[in-house]
Amino acid sequence: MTFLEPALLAVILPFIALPIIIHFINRMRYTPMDWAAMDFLFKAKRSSTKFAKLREILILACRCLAILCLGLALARPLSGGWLGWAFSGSSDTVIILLDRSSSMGVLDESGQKNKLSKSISMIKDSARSKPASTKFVLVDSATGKVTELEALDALEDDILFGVSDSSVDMHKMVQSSYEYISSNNPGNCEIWVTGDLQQSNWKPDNAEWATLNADFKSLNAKVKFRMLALSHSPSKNIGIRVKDVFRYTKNNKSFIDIGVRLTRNYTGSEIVRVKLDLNSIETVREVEMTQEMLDYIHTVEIDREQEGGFGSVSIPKDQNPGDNSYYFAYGSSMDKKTAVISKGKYSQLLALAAAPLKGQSQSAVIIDENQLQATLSDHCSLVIIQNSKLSENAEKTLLSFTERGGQVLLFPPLQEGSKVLNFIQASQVETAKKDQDFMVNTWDEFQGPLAKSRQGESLPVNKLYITSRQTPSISGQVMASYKDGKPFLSRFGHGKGAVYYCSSGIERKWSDLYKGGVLLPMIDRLVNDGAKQYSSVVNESCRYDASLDKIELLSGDEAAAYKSLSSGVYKDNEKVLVLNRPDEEDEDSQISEDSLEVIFSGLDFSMFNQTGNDSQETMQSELFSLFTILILLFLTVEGFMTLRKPHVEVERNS
Amino acid sequence: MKEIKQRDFIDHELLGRLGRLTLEARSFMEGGFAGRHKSPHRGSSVEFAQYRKYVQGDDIRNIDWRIFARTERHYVKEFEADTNLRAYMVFDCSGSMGFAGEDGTKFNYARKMVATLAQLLVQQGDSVGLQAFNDKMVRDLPPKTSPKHLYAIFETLSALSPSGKTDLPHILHELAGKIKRRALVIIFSDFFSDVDKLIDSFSHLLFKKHDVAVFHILDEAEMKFEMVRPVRFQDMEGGESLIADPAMIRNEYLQQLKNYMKDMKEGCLSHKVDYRLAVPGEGAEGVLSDFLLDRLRGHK
Repeated sequence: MTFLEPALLAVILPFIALPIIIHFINRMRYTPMDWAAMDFLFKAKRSSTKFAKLREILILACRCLAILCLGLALARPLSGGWLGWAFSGSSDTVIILLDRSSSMGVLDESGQKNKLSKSISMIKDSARSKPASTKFVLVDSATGKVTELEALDALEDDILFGVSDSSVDMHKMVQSSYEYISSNNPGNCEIWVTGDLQQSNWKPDNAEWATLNADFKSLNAKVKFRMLALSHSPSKNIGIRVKDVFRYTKNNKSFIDIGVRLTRNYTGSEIVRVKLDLNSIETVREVEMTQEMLDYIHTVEIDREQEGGFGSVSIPKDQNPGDNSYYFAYGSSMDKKTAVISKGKYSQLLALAAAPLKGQSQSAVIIDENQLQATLSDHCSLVIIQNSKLSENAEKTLLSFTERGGQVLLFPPLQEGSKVLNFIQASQVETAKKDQDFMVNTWDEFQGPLAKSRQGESLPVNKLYITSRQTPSISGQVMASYKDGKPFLSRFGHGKGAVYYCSSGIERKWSDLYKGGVLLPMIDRLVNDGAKQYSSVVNESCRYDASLDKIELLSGDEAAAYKSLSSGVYKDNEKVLVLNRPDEEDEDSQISEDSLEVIFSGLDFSMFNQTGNDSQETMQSELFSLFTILILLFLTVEGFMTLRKPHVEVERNS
Repeated sequence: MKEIKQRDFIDHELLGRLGRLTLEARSFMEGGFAGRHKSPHRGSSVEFAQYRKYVQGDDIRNIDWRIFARTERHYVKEFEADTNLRAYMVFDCSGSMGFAGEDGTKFNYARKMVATLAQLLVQQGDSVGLQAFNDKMVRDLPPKTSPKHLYAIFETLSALSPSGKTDLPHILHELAGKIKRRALVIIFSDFFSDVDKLIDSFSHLLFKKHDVAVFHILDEAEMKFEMVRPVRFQDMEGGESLIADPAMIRNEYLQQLKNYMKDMKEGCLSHKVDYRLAVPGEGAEGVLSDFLLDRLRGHK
């Protein structure tokens, strides 16, 4: 047990002997009295000695313990909670894994302190009771840097150690602490882990946790893990982000569609004021939210000659200020080209689906694989492959294309069992029985090629009539699946781009995809995704990159210590770099305590989870109240034993 | 002319209230004079007792000649004899009787009862003596009937003070040997002695056919033991002192006292000793009137 005010305890401790001293003084200050029935007194004293002395000792013990408890209460003992166990035992080095991710900006009910500042103040309080020789080492989640701290006051520098807009990789942080211990031999260590237990930060399925666990077990130094989890969620929170920005021309006028998504953690109808700052012109729009999520499009007419622009959307600040704004940018309109490698009559259909309107910026060419290299170098966004077997060279070219950000869409039939593009290994073709077609009933409506339209309408994926399919044996990321769980559309990410495999063909004998209700928007989205590689606008999530420190800020926080960790719009050579918080920082799901037990199994791990909005002072008062209860208890027992009435009464009637 | 002294142990009002009552003996008495109490001997009162055969030496005046005329045998007609009562007031003057509670000392309380009963007895024509003792007999005034003797008793009572140790069983055995004729022995004491020895000494008196009554004088403070602070208890009969915290030994002390009082009371009742607990705080009138009335009713 340690104390925040040990000096006070030292002052009070001698007073524990006070009841004993008073007892002996009292015994010396007796009253003389002449007494007749002395025989009874002598007998009474002889027979009462054993129990009376025990009672006397108990009374004195109660009095002493009451004073001891008073002293302990005033000395602020740290016997429970985060501070209690953080101080238990002595360690040569304390490694602090500080989570500065965006979600740590969640404020408490009073709106005064966010999770990060609360973590820092608790760490500082805990550190006060460590011996002066204890070394403190900081592992910063935002920069990944490992720093030996001269003084913990440095953590209060809001610019250097404030909430960032980045995410956190807990495995990487724990790995950094292991590397520090193994290379610096710092003696017995405690690792204080702070954070809000976001599932995405921990990735408990990561197989490397087991390796790291074994590494810690092999260390000679004694390592204790102390987890300070601030898992409370804001009671009311609305978040905003921009899904996409789409520039187009209509009737010789230029427009941009800004796809905005509002999410919240409560229900009920509510008007939300969304502020749009576009090229320094602010407009406010009120939108009504009735569900937990709302997608809507903000359409703004822009100057046709304008090459590009940038801005942000924001909502009034709430308990989680980190998700109240989002930056975006757009570039000049550009041509989007699709290459179709297909044999047969359906090649024309695919080319038409890729460029449905003549005179627009989208175009499509039907090629064979010999023309692939040349076509891809000419601003090609998407390659559609149907009913064609690719050579090894063509596959290499396509993989290089996807690595740069290009998209590939592949349709069956494929040769059963052979691998295509390193990812896809098709099984045998299945044909549905009569009147029992393969129905697609699950698909991702929020992102990807089958997402809802900008107007919020779902694609008729479940109305597809599929009679034949050739599903992959390795499914990748499933974007849509049949009723029996097998994938309809799979995504295989590669570099900045991806390969998509649709397990049913466009030919009539496979499905009615040729009708276009699903095919057209799917291809359109893949074309737009692929075109991003040629865009002057680059959208990225905030993550530490020292090379970005000198880039020019167009919009955002000028005071940020590291530009790569702060949301905003930046000018990076010829490109416009838009940095925002990562998607996973908006996720509510938290890692379970069981999963943490698995990650740290066999290691000295304990967790203090502050689920409420109570402050550290509350935790202290809980300890104080414990000792107050003990004081009352001891005094009650003492009173009972001291003031109890004689249970023997002399009968008077003669 | 003799000076009339005011004595605080003579309560005239109390005497006035108790004056209409008489102190009756529970058994035959052997007095020196005619009186109101039954004698074990036949006498000349008007109350017929029995006939018995004439034996040589009988007064021929007592022969019932009418019986002789009918039976030609000599029978003597006997009548009950009434005598006066000889009472011994055995008064404990040991140091322990000097214990003072809120209502004065046990000694003064007992002295008041002795004086009251002595006056009552003399008023009803009985003899009364005073045996004041501690570990030995301090004063021994044999029973007499005269008012002059009563005055001597008062004088003696006023001269007494509590002191010394006590040895009541020894005194009672000595007294039992000394009193030749049946008498009423009334003992006033706190009886802080061994109960078995006390009962033995009572038995000795009873064996001698005396009527024995005891007034057990105990103070409220002795029976409650309510002191709070540590006390240095000083033995009033000159023994060892004891320092103790009353709160610590209260229950055990009261248990000892309770056992002792129970033994005392049961020992007395089983030997037909008239036992009375007398507490100074409750006054003398109640306990004395109960004592007198119970004897009148023949309850004890």
